[in-house]
Amino acid sequence: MKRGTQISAVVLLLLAIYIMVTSIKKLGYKLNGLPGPGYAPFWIAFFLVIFALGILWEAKRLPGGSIFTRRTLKMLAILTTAGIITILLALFLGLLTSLALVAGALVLLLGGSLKQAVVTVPTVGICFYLLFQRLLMVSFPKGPFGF
Amino acid sequence: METLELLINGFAVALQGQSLLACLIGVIGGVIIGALPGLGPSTGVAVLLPLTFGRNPTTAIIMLAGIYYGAMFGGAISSTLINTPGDSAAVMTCVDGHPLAQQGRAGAALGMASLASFIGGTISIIIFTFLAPKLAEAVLWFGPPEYFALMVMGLSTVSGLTGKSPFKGMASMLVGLALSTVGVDLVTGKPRFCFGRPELFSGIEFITVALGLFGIAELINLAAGESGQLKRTEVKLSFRNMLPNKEDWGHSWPHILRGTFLGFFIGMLPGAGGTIASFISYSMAKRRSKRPELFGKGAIEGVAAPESANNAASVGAFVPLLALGVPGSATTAVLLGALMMFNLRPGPLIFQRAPEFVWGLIASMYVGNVMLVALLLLFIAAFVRVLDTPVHLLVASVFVLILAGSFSLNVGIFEVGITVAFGAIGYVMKRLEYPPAPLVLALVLGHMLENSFRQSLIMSRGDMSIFFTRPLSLILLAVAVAAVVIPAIRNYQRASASRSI
Repeated sequence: MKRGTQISAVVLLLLAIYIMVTSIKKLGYKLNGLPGPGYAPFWIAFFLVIFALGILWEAKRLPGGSIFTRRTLKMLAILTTAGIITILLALFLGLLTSLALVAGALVLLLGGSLKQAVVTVPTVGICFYLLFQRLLMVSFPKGPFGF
Repeated sequence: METLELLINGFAVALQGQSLLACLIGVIGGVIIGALPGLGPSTGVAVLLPLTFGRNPTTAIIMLAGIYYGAMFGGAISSTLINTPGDSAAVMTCVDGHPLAQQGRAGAALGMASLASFIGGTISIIIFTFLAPKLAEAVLWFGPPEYFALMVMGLSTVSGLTGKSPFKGMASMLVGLALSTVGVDLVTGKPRFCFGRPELFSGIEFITVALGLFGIAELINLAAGESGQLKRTEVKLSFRNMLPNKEDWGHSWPHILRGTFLGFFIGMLPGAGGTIASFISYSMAKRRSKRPELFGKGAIEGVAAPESANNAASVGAFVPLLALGVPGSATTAVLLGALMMFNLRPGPLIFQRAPEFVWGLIASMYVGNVMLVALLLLFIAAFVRVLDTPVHLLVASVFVLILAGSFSLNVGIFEVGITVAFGAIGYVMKRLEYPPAPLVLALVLGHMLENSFRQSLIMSRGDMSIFFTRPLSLILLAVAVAAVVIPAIRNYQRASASRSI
């Protein structure tokens, strides 16, 4: 917890410094005596520096130990990867097919049976087609199968 | 009298077929999502928001409001049957609800929770009906400096009071504000932090972030739980065994009334909301009860008091949202974003500019509450079966629903990427105890905050003292500072005391 909080505070500090530098150098702090496009981001980042330092100070009192267990890390990795794969697959197979396949794969990876996974794929495909494409009229990117 | 006439017109909107259907879908969806452990009203509203795209704004918001108060009740189901709250506002319901279920009185506990929610919700809507328009009238004279100060106060109280560390709350809020500056600057036309991506020129949509922070992050949390299937107490639920007996009513009614008024006014305060309302209502009920020794072991009033308070708080939260245009909680922030997506700008003028919408929404809350109690008393057994859904099926289906919803927003894969990224960030934030609500609230309010700030400085020709020379603006800014400084000092004192021990 302690190390994780310290790392997060450093990330916030770096982010704030980047915003402050960009606000002044690239965006323009003032314009005709009034706040320019970089004015608000500069002050937001300035306060972020203060609170990030506060978090660093507070972190000294936090207990050690990891914020993740093996299981939580695994689930974080599975769902994040599933999201990325959905996006990549959608470019080739269309979004509907991609969502259905990923839903099936997730059922398996999260501990479901092969039968449940196989049933999930067409169920998600049909339900999402009816809900999004028919009812809500959202046009999903299409794949080689025409849907 | 005028209010009653407007309310009658509102009922004409709320009783139309599509409004009734939207309300019914919202209430059912809300109860189901609220019943699932970890998925609260903010997740429910964010996940189901894409289903309202392309619909009439009034119908859409009626549905979203139904999800909100439906989810507030749904939390009681998992609290009572599996001793795991649907969301933080239902934590206190576990304390007596689950022991009652173990004693074979789950029906009475859920019945009392439904009826207390109904009474709390309905009385609050009556207060809301008369209070909100008066408040909106009272703030009509607000200028940009007062609005700026009001938004700063809303943001800092939510950030200072949410989560364990006010520093983390404030940092979360500032990251949200920084994200709200992404996009083309409306005054100069200059792109800010767009990295050459045209998708970012119009800014980061709050809903793509909310879907990640409230949706995917909560799903990761749910999937990372120990059990593959939620283990609930086996119960037989029917209409008859859900009706509380005379003795139950005798013990509960004063606590329901107190919880209602307490919940409504706490719900109006930014940063407080249903969780604090239910905690205070429960502790007051325990202090004033004739049998405090039963609390924690299955006191029916221990279920009634927090349930009436958290439902009343969900109605109270609509007062600042509609009358001031400033949300005080994560769920109302998502609702504000939804209203803005439908080109409805909440604030004092909305009562004059869109009376059909406002009064239709208020009337729908009366209708929704009646629907909620009727559905729960008649079909509770069906809702309870939601808890039997295997976690892997639930996570997989809600996950792809979130991705599809995120895509539907702007019909773009880029938005899906943002949602996935914020899902991972949200989960890390959760583990590190950074509250996500201030980030979403700031992202929603960021544009308005910057606009009010710039307008104020144009009014004063660049003189910052405008914020400190107008009395109301000064008071609101002082409250904003206090909301951060006081919790920080308390944290410091607590830490010093524990070190010295």
